[in-house]
Amino acid sequence: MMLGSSAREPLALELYRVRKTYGDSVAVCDLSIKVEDGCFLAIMGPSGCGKTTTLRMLAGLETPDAGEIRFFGKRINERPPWERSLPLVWQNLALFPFLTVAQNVEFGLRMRNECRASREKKVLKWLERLGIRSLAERHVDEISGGQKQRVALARSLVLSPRVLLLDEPLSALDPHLRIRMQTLLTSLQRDLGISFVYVTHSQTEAFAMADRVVIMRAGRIEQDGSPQSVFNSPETPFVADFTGAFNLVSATVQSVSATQVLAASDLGLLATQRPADLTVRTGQRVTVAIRVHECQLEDINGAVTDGRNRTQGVIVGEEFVGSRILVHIEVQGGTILRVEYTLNARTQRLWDVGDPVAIAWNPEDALIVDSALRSEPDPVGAVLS
Amino acid sequence: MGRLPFSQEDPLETDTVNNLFSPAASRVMLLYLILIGIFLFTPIVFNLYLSFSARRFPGFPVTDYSLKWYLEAFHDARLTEALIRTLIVSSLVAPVATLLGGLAAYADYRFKFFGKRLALALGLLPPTIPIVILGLAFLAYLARFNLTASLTGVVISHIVICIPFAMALIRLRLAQMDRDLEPAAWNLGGSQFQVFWAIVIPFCLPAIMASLLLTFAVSFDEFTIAWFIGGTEQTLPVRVLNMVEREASPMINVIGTITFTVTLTLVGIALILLSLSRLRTTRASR
Repeated sequence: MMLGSSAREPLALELYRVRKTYGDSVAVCDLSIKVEDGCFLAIMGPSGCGKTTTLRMLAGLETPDAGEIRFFGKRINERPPWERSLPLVWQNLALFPFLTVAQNVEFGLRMRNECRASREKKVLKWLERLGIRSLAERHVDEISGGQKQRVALARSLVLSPRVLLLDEPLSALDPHLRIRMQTLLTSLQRDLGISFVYVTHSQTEAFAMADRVVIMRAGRIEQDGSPQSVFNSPETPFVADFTGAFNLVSATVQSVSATQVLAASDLGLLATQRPADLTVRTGQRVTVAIRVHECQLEDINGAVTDGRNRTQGVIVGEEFVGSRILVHIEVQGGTILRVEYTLNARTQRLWDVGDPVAIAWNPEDALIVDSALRSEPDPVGAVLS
Repeated sequence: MGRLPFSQEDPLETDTVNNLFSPAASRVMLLYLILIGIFLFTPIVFNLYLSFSARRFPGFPVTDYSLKWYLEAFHDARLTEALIRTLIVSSLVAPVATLLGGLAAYADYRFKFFGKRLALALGLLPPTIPIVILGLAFLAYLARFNLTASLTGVVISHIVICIPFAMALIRLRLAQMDRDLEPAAWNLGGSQFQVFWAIVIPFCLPAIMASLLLTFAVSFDEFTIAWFIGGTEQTLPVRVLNMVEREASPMINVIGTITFTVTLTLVGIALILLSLSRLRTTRASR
């Protein structure tokens, strides 16, 4: 099945049931990822989820214990790093400290024994393109963090790779510079038409740049899809939690209709939407994810709108996010729900910490996020179960 | 892009060490260091001072300054021959010991293999063995290959005692090398061999130079083993001992001064190279 699909469309990179262990600990388990040519793929997850190991296997710095890594259809498991043409932008940059900026950029070309004229032309082109031409003769210990970043990028891109690997390259930069580098990276990727495989633990970075995101946890894929789909319809409680956009509540299914599922929880009976592919039975334990942005705060004595979910709790904390407030509310059973609302000059503060408050949301803004309940066969999920 | 002053660039090097002690305690310790310095260097300074005396049995204070004994020393054939022998030995020992010690240090840095710790411990062992015992062992061993009473034997033994110095210096430098530097170079298309030449050697160059100078100095000064193994092929330190035993010539002051100056210069340059390279690395990692 996998082979059939890869034969039709050229995949820049493909991991097929790759496994890597260190002693007793499993770093990556039965991992299958396809990277289409020209795709900006972000692999994200918390530290220790196996994302960096995955990247190092692609670069040839680790050898998988099982499975296959293919580069434009060819198996490259055994190929040493220097025969792969898969340049990596390192988290700590790993620039050569005793060389100048230009010599750093030239390094890969020198290793390939390109002639001097061609080397100089390419180095110059990339220094110019990344705006670091004036630094060419500087030593890399004499330039700023953002400039080093550009040197690291130029050093990789000068080799005209078809796929560029990036390992949390922006983690050391301050927020302002990070945004500028994000813009630079997206425009470079689009202009060059090559694939980027970008490893990060930051979902804002991934969602801002990537065409596709793979969320990993404990060496396995939790979800693989467009940023929108991951954000809008997380398939597991972990993903829903990781995006930070959902309140999670455990519940037991009470009844199932064509469009809705009713589930009993500590918060009362909750109505959630039911996608066509979701098969649940009554009595099943499920996790209900409620969109933080779609919850509304209401007065506890106010009128209850028909068809809306509503529960109450006590405000235990507030976070200010620019002009918005993220309110933390403790509800029945000790669960903390978050509700976000916008503050503007005219809006009065209606509630304070310690106040009881009601929270209401529409059934379509809540969903059940247990991948095992999806009827659609997921190739990775099938392998795992 | 102005550089920060040194103290801010490298807080670990200067600040923390100084702040460990109160000013009074630091002053006492400084005094202590100065006293040790005087204790160690007074004989050598006297040596230097007396070497300029014209008298057969120089006394204090020197009344008649002259370079007489310097000239005499350079015209003594046995002395100059010994000096040439020593130079030959040292200039063979320094590169070979640096090469072997450097490769051992790299093996320790790059590879994991069975018995690595043991191999490392054995490699660093020679300086801890009493030199007389080491000399006897070399004598017994090299006799089997008819290499006693030959410069070749001296060169081989000196290489063995110099390797730990080379290894220690180059290991120190490698420890400062970013673990990702070599993989990054492989990733850019350099084979292991190419990268060793293009990255590891240039990075370790200051330590390699320091090791060449230091092993040269060690071999240049070494007496015991040269005396055991060399036989009639006397190196300079051996020749000096003979002179002391037989004639107590004031030329000894001259030789002492020259030897000390050569050694001090070599070790001094080695130290400067090492501290310069440390500076560069700490800057680069920021």
